[in-house]
Amino acid sequence: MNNILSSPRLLLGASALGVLGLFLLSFLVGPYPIPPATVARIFLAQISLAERHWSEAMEMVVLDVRFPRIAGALLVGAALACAGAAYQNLFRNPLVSPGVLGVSSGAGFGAALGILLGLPGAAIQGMAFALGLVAVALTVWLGRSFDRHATLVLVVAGLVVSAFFQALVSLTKIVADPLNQLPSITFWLLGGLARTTPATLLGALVPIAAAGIVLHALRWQVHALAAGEDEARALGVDVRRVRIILIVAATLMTAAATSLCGIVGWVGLLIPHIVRMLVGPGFAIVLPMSALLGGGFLLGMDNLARMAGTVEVPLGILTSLIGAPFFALVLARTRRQWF
Amino acid sequence: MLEVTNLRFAWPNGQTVLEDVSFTATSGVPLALLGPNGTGKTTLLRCLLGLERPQAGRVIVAGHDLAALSRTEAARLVAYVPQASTTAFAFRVADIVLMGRTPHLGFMAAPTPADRRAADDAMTRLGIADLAQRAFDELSGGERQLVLVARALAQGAKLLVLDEPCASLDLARQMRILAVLRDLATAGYAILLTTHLPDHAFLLGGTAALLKDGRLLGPAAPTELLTSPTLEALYGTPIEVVSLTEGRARGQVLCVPVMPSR
Repeated sequence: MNNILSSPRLLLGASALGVLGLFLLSFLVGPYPIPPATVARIFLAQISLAERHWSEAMEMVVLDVRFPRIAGALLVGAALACAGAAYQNLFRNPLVSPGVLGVSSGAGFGAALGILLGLPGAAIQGMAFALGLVAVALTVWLGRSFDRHATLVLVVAGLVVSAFFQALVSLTKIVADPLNQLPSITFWLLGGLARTTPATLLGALVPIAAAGIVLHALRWQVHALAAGEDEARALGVDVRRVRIILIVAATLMTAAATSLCGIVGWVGLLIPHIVRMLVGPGFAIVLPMSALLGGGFLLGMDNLARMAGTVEVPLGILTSLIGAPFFALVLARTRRQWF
Repeated sequence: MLEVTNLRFAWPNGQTVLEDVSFTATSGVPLALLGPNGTGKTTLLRCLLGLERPQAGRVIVAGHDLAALSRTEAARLVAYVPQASTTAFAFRVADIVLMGRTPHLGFMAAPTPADRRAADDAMTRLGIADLAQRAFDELSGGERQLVLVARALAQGAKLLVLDEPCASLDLARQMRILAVLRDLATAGYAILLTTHLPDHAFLLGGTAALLKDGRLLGPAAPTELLTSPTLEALYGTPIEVVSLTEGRARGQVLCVPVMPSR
C-alpha cells in the first residue's frame, strides 16, 4: 500500500494542510457575512499599509471576534488532545483522559470557586490549575491504594474524584449570586469560546505552549514509558522524574484550556484514539498529530456551534453529542483487550 | 563484566530475600540461575539492573559501581529482557526495538539514522528483520521474546539480564532462544538468565548457579554443580541426572525428575 495512509509523516503534513485550510475557511463562518476576499484583505492590511475598503465593523468581527475564537478553538483542542495522549501513555491506559482522570472537574471547580470569590482572570486560571492537579493526584493515589496495575481501577478512581468535584461545583452554583456569578459559572461549565478575547487567548497560550514544549522534549522518554515502569527504567528513563513532569505539564495544559473555554469533554479521549489508529502508538508522532487533529476537531465543532442558528449551542454539549457516539465507534474498531 | 559482592536485600517488612550473595559473570560464558519459585531470582535480577537498591553489597558492571550511575549510564551497561507480555498499545516491532536506543538519545533529540540502523542491525542479527512492521502483540511468544532480545541488543549494553526467556515456549522456540543466547555469548556478551529447567544450563554450556533461601551456590560448571543430590535438595523432589550414551545428543547431560511413588 503506497498511499498516504502508509506514511505517518505524509499524514502529518496532510493534516497540517487540512487544519490550515479549515482555519482560513472558519473566518467565513458566522451570522455576519463577510466575503472571503475581504477577509484576506483585512489580514493583508495588518502587515501592509493597503487602503481600507471595508467597514470598521467587518474588521472588528474578523480580528477581535473571529480570530481569537478560531485560534482559541485550535489551542484548546490541541491542548486537550495532547494532554489526553500524555495521560494515556503515562498510565499505559488508553481509557484515561483529562475528563476521566477528574482533571476537568477539578479545574472546573477551581474556576467556579474563583468566579464565586470574585477573583481576577489570572487567579481563576491558577485556581483551575491547582485544583486540576489536586484532582489528578487524588485519582492516582486512590487508584494505587486499590491496585496499581489494573487499568479499570484508575478509571473508577477518576469517576469517584470527578463525582466529588462535580458535587462541589453544584454547591458553588447554589451559593453563587444568581444574577452575576451563576450565569458566568454555568456558561463556563457548559464550555464555549464566545467570550475569548486576545488577552485571555494569550493567557492560555503561554502555559499551553510551555507544557507542549516540555512534552515534546520528553517524547522519546514517554515512548519508552509505554513499555511499563520497570522496563522503562532499565531502558534508562528516570521514570519518577518523567512521570511528575508529565503529570504537571498535561495538567497545566488541561487547566489552561479549561480556564479559556470551560469544560469541553471527549476531545482528550477521542482524538488520541483516532490518532493511534492512523499513525500507530509511538508518542513522538502521536503528540504532534494529536495537536493537529484535536485543534481541527474542536475548530470544526466550534464552527458548527457558530452556524447552528440564532441560539448558540454550547461547545461542550456539541463535543459530547458527537464525541461520545464516535468514541463508541472507535472502540468497536480497535477491539483491543483492555481489562 | 559483572561482579557482585556480599549483596544483601530485604523487604521493608524485614523479610530477607538475598543474604551475602557474591559471584562474577564473565563475557562469553552464559550464566544460568536456577532456583525454586519465590527464592529471590527476580529480586536478584532487579538488583543487578538497579531497579532495587540492596541494603548491603556492591554490583560492579564493567568496572562501574551500579549504585553510583545514573539511569542512562546504567542502561548503557546492562540491558533487561523481561518475560514477553502484551503491551497497552498496538506497537509495531520496530517501535519496540527502537526503545532500546533511549539511553543514547540527546536532550530533546529524536533517534538519528544511526539509532535506526542500530535497531535494524539488532533485528537482522536475530533473524527477525522481516517482522519489523508487524504488530508486536500478534507475534508468537518466541518471536516476542526475540524482539525483546533485539531491543536489548539495540541498547548497546554488553551485559544482558534475561528473566526466564524460555518460559511458556514450545521446545523448538526454547532451543531457538538458547541458540541465540549461546551465539551472543560467543560474540562477547555477558549473559545472565533465570530458568526453571536445569537442562537449559547443560545445553548452554556456560556456568550455573543455584539460589535457595536467599543464598547462592556457584557459579560452577553445570556438570559439577547440578548433581542429583544438589538438585533434590534445591527442589525437594527426587531427581536423577543422566548422561546420554547414544544418539545425536550423545554426551548430553539431562535432568530427569522421578515421579513420586503413591
